[in-house]
Amino acid sequence: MTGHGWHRCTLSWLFLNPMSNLRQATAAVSLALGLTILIWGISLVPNGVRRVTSVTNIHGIVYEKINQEIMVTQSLAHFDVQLLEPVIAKQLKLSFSFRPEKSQTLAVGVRENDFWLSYQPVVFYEAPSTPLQTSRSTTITIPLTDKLQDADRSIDVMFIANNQTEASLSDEAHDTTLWYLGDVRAEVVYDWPTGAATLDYLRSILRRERPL
Amino acid sequence: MSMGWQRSVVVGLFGSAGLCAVIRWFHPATVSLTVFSIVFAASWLMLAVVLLRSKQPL
Repeated sequence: MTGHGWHRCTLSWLFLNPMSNLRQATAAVSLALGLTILIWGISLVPNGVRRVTSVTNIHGIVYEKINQEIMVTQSLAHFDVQLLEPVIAKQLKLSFSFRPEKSQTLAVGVRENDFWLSYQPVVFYEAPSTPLQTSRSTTITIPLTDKLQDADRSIDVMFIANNQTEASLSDEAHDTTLWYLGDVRAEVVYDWPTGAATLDYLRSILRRERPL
Repeated sequence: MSMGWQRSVVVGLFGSAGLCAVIRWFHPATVSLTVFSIVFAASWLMLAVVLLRSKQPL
């Protein structure tokens, strides 16, 4: 038999002969749906510590490292966390040490949609009346279900110093930000998502949401 | 397993691979390329096994 004949025979065997009864057709559809749901369900199981990329400014230039600490000299500091699973029903536990120097506030957020600065910052430091120069450690927990996930399953994380907004970022030359960041550790743990976050996740699938 | 049921399994596997492909097109992070490749390969493997075991001449 020629290759062409084999091809035609296979296709007709699969699709042109009607299923002999309704039960077999139902079984095929159930298997297709069930297997897909099972595969998707299994992909939600992994959790644990995930790899983080280098901390960079918004132009992708890596911040200098001094004595095991990253010297952050601009208001925004970005890095990726390489997830191995979809973001649904997960939260990010971000642990790190930092030295705030003269920063007024320090916050961290995970990108939410295709707008490049769509971060809902979680403030982890507010300067007291007498600034402390010592290093301190903190752990921030951020639900991930409604966050933007790239095709390679990475998520964008941004440190934001001194409440910077998009408008105030235009004056980069006069940015006097200085703080130190050390030992960033990202862990993914289970989290029961809210209804709104789940809808957001489904909406992001239907809209084919991508980072711009 | 009768020929009809074997065909159900093969069509089901291809259907699952198709669904995975559609989901990947919408949102690549939801179904990884590895998972899609495994299901797609399993579909062809099952088809080959069923065809080879069948008495029907190709």
